Amino acid sequence: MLFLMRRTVVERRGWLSDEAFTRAYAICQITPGINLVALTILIGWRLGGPVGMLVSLGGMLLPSAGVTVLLTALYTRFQQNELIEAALNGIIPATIGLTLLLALAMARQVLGESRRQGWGSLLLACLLIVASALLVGMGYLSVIAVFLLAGGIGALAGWWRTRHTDHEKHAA
Amino acid sequence: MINPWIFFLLLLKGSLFSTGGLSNLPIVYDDLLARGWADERQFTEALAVGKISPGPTGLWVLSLGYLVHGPPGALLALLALTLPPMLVLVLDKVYRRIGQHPVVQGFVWGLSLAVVGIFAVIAVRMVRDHGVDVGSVSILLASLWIGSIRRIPFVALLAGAGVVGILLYLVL
Repeated sequence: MLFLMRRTVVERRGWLSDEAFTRAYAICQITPGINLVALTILIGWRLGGPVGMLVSLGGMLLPSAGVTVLLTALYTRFQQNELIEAALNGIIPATIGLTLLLALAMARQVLGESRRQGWGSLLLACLLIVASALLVGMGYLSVIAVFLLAGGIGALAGWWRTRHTDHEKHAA
Repeated sequence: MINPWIFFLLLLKGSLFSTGGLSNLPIVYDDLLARGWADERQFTEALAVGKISPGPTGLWVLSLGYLVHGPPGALLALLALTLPPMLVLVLDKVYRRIGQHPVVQGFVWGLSLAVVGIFAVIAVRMVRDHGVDVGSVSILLASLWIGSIRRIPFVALLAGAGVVGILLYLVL
């Protein structure tokens, strides 16, 4: 979907330069919520202010949101059907598998990034993953508390790293 | 009974502390299960619908909203999904100053590690809730393997899993 948006906005219409599109997407990645929704808002706003934003948001969300709700409604209607039930018994484990796959892809990406920062960073990353899983799995802390804790430790590590590199610069 | 206002705030909280895709799953899961407003099964159903429907995967929350609280629930979920990405307009103004800052990047880094860890916990709970039997576990493992092959779309995979589910039902 990102690929399609890029082709329309940058290549076909020339609304944004390639560089501006990449930068816009980087901003959307640190924005809370769905990245593509944020990207739609940002591009819409740049092209046409508040109205542009609403138009682009509607154009992007309404069709997909409509289909999502429609499928759910159909599902609740035919839930009692034996065959649907049987199909779901196949679909549900597959969904769990795909969810796990997404977690693995995320793990690979963030661990790769940590590895490039050094072994200490990779070790801390593994510790944070295991600790978050244990704290939530055993029910010691709520998810939001673990998020804030892990984010705080990450921020501290980032702060420590700048100080460290600053020292090296001063030494050199 | 479900209080629509609180329901909206819980979804909004999930959206605010996520970076798209399924990363709002841990918070929403924690909050709704704790209140008894949703069960594990509804989450897997919503995730399946989210994977099948077009548009960003993050729209799975719309399906969950519908399953938990009907059409108004879906509408509240849509609002909760759209509001936090609006922050992109603010971030666009300050990105040059804070986006590259190591502390900000460290926070995002820690957050994604926690998400990975908690995903593992959720997957285990979902499997336990669905029931552990030879059929489900083989479908889960097969979906992990087939899903990692890029050329196969998730929709085709889920459709295949549905067919397998029906075959198992007819044979057994």
